Amino acid sequence: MNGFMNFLMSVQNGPLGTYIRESDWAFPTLESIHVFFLTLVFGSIILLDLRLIGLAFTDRRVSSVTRDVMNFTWWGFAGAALSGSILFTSYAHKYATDPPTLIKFGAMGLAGINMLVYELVAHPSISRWDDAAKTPVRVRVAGWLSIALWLTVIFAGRWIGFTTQDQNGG
Amino acid sequence: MINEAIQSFSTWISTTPLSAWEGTQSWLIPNSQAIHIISVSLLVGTIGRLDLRLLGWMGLDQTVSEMSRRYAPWMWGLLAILFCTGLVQTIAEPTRELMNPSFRYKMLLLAIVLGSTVWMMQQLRTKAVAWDALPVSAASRLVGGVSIACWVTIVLLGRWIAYTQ
Repeated sequence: MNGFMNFLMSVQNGPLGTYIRESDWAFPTLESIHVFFLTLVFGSIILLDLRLIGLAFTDRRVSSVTRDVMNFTWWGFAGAALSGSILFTSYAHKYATDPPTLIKFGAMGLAGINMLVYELVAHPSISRWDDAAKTPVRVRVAGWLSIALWLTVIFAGRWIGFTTQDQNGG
Repeated sequence: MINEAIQSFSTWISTTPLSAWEGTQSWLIPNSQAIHIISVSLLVGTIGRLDLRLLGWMGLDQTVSEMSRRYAPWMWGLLAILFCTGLVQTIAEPTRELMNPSFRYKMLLLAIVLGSTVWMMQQLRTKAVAWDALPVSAASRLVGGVSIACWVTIVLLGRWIAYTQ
């Protein structure tokens, strides 16, 4: 653990971390881009989740909604992960012990596991409930979990700005 | 002149009991901002898809009228939540918002995009056939392009409010 914390400190004090932290424009620019990519991730996956739990768009097939949104979710996630990683270097050591950051990463990990379980356990039988407004319980559980976890990611993510920095909070 | 008026208005808001109370509630602004971001994400997810259809780039198996009917209730509901959470944040720190160039550009783009969207919805009522037709019309491309450009910039400017003054 000590070695890991030392590594994060060297990242934070390295050229990239130092530049992002000290530049006037780098952090705000990356952060606003990060939020934009986040809107793509959540704005797309939530449409599928709402369909999975039967709360909206029930006139469309689950497979159609999936096809509509997945590219946005993945490209949005790639952009958010890249911009987020660069942001992370600026305060790597501080983020590693910041509760909202840890909650955010934990929720993202669980969201990933939830997606994997959905793919393996629920998705194979999609032909039987593709048209159904009321999907099987395991599908609805996956949808609700996804919504809850991504909401946690966004809440915790916004809190990071208030617990780690004096400036970008408000 | 107008700037001075907005400044004194901001100063007045900050002297109200509500603004002072908000200042003592450290949980309020972070959560309000999180709800604001969640709502704008949903707006990007719904309106963004309608915009891509207007541009003729995606969702061509659905008509503009169909999509607009599906997403309009979402749009108005989300705009109401965005207005309320934005108001909470503005009352807490009126000068930080109202005197901020990022905030002002954001409001300008919001006015433009709302105007163009309302115009499109009115057109849809009387000329749905033309708006649903493929290939998409020049007006359809214009409204879609303006909307997507405005919303992306609005999201970016929203985060920039924290860094400009």
